[in-house]
Amino acid sequence: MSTSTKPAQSPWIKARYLVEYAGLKAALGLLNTLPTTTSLALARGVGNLGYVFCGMRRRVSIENLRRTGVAGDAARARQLARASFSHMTQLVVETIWARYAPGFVEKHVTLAIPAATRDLLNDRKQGLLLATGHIGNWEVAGLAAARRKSVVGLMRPMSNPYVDAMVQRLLPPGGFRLVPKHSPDIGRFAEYLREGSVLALMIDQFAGERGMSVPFFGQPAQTHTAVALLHLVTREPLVFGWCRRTGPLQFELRASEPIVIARTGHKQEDVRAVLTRLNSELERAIGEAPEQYMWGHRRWKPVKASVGSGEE
Amino acid sequence: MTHDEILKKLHGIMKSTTRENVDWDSISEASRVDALGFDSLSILDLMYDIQQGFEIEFDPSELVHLKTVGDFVAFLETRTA
Repeated sequence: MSTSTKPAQSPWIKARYLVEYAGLKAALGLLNTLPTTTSLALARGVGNLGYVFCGMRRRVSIENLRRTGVAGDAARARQLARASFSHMTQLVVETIWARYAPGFVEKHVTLAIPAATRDLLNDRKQGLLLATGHIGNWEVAGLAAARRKSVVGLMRPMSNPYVDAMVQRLLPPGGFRLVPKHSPDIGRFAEYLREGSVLALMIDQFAGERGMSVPFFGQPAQTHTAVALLHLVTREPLVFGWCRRTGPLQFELRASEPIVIARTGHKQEDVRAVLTRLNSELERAIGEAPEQYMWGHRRWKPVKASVGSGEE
Repeated sequence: MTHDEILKKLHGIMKSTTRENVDWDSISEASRVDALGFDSLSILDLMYDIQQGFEIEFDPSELVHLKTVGDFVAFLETRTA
């Protein structure tokens, strides 16, 4: 299933998309021919090059690391930013293996999950909201959860329709689906939960003026509200989870205890309570592995006005 | 609640929840909800407000087949009866 079937309008844009697609396909073909250690070393090298040449992302990463206090000084910020670039390129390679290699999850992922959360994952009839961020390997997290029950990940369709279709084709058969965030089908997300799926949402993307301003590392960050509203409206259990890389191709899937925020009848307050709790869970995860966070995202961009709890 | 009371209340909730510029005078029971600016994500705000405003509980997946304002009114009639 593709999440974006709209063809490019301009011939130039279409040509650019095709070139990007061909380049990516060639890179994937190359990866398949290389041994694991070589591919990971290559990925780290590409990450280091990215740190050197992607000046804007490097600056944003360093600025974010200083702003949050995660890096105490400039040297530590540079070190973590470089490691973060390297982490991201390794993540791509790991994800490809995770999707292709039979038994990857069983061989490479261990679980560190509280009993109550494990019970929710093992109950195939129980819907579950999984909030996560761009920390560790979120793709492996989704695949690992999908070994227990069906997982539906919300994604923004990529602008390149060829790459988007390829990403969908690369998904392993079984319980992991990616679906577009926005759809005219109004009851769709509730239906996924009712059929017992895990509905996985990223909580750390800049939400613009339609998000809610919630502290993240003590500073207001526009935050998407969908996960909070889903929890409050459906009353399905909510957990924060992430997958930490503990060694080369070794991961640990971690999750919080089920989070329950009772409704007070004040929507803004209820949504804020859920998002504040989730942001603290994410902060804790980042504190454990700051080099495994995607620092290059402009999470604290200013907005003209913060208007309530709406989604993007 | 009567049909008209439900319609009026729902109208008010939708008006305060949507972020689209909608000509509310032209909205009828035949109007589609997605044309009022609600999609799979923004409908969540509306669901919270409906549950709160009408003091009812429902499984949001029950709304899957509701497409128009009139469908919502009919659904709410059964729940508030």
